[in-house]
Amino acid sequence: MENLILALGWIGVFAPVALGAVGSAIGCSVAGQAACGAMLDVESGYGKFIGLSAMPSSQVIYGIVIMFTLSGIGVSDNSAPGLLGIGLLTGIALMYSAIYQGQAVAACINASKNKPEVFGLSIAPAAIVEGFAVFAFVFALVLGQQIAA
Amino acid sequence: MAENAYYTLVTSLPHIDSLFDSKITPISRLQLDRRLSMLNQEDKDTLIKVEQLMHWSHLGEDVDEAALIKLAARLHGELPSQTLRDLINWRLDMRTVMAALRRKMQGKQAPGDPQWSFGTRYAYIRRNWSNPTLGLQHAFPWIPQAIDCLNRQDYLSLEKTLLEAVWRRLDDAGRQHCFDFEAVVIYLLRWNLVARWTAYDGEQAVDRFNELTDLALGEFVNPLSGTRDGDSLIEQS
Repeated sequence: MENLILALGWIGVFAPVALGAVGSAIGCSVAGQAACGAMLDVESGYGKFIGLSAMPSSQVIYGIVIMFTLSGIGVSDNSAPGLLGIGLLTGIALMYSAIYQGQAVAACINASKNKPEVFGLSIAPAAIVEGFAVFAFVFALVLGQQIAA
Repeated sequence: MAENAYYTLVTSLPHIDSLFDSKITPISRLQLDRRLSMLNQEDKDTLIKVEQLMHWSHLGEDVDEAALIKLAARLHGELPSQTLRDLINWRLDMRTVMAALRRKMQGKQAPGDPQWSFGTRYAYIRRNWSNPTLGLQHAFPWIPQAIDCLNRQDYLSLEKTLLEAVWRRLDDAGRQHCFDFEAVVIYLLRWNLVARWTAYDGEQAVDRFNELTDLALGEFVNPLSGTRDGDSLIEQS
């Protein structure tokens, strides 16, 4: 039983990275495919499409930071349930935000390809989704400190 | 094709801004076909079925209507998406409505054959034959305008009315689909509308009309054309 609790604790520690990586991979893939398609249709401005398509990669970076913070607390019988709860739920939030950010970026690329003047505005939905990922990231760090305490 | 793989295809297709302001298609058919080659075989087959259902220009004038109705029913049943089935049904219904309005304009009675057309409304239209708008003015708000155009024999306005109705319907459908197969089909149908509109050419139409009248009149073409041997009827009028 003790080993199971410890295993769950380690799942909580690594979940933000693993799920964040899954989300970022899907999000970047979707946005990257849209960027590739857009490059077939336009004559210039390829760089901004490729730059945008990397936007969903931030979630895995947040996941790495959370992983180091949670692993710094140390996995024990007492901390494992808290680590599982915070780590797993943060990982899920990061994964979904990366996937949906990828779709928002794809829509942004499609819109700005046809109408370059809306480029700045069309990034807004993707930026808002990024904001939600940042919420999950920041409050995971804050709550992580409470487990340590 | 994986669901995500439509992103590349859809973003590679140039935006179609408007129908009547277009002077040329935003992408040539050759280029469009190259882009559509990104689809997997199953999607390509579906696309062919949709085009077979929607475009009849390849059919000869001696087409067997019963066989065409059967073919349409079979192809329609094989479509994988409810959105596509609804869209195709709407388009086929539109054709049925126009066929009915033209028949009525010629003073003909309701068709005798219960399955006289395709789509979903042919039985309803047959039952409501005496109604001036076939009882469908709410489902198809363009019907009164189409009847008006038919009465005035203003076929250019009629064509524009019908094209605009299709364009709006595709616009509505397009808003619900961004990066999926339905979005590709809707794009293709919109492209076909633009291609059709931009291909209209007055001079070509006159030539074609003359060709058809010459064909119909056969050996009587010269006496009827009066002093100007070989000239066309339309030029005299």
